[in-house]
Amino acid sequence: MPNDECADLLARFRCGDPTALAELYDRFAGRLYRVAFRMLGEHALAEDAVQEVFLAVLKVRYRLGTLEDLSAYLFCCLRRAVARLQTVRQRNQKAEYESFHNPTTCTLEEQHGETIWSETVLQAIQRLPPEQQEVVLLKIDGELTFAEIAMVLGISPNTAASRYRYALQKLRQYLCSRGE
Amino acid sequence: MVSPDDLKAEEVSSLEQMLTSLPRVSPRGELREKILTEAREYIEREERRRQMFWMSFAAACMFLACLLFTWTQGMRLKVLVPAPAPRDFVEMQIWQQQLRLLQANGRMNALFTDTVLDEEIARPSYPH
Repeated sequence: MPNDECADLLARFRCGDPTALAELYDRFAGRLYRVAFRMLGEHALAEDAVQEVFLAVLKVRYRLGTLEDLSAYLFCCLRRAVARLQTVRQRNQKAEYESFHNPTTCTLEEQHGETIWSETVLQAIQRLPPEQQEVVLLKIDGELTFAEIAMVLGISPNTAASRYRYALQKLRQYLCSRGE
Repeated sequence: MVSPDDLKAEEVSSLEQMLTSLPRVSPRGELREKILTEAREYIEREERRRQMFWMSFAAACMFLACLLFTWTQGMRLKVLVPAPAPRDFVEMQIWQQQLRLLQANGRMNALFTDTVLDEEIARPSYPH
């Protein structure tokens, strides 16, 4: 998104223009939702996370003037929202322990009957270490650059790139071992 | 130990292509409406809160203005109606003392007649 366009959008957003929020939603919601869905594994929770992000941004809109990168900021908010929702879910699971299955170990296909990612690729991604998994999701589903991923995760762009390459290497190994 | 250097550029691009070409989920249409409705409600609430703040501020200012007005009026009255001068005060004390003397002697009625003798009521004498 060009800087001028972004600044104009943010300026309108700060003034409480509802069309600016709609525009912001149309630009970012898809990517945010995809990443949230991959991280949480549930449609309802992913929707909650996206909603939380937009409402949080709305509440702090007067302080967005000095924002360097809007996408990175939104994904940063998403990461926090996802972490919060994961904590809430874990707490609920503890309360209902042994009564229900663990949604994080479920495949998406089992939960929703949709063929979203192939079973094998999904398993391969789930086997990645969390920090590499996060980079892959932000890169593929979030469509962020390494610089933006670095801002979101608070690491250097080189670290982000190397985590991504390690993740791809592991994916390839896993897929090869499965004969794909 | 896996090393990222083992990956060739074409392998990276083919893996990326595989990942990006997979079908993608997208949020339901209702989510957009839900978020926009909530945002609208939040902005309205915020507007109401702002109005309430300014109304309270105006009310507080008016209260302070009234308080200030009352205080200045009080000060003005105090200036216009000065306290009794020390001389009047001394004279009043002397008359009160003489009245107590008359009362003690049962001569209060004498105040309303002409029979009060000069000796009975001493003339006011000032300390200076």
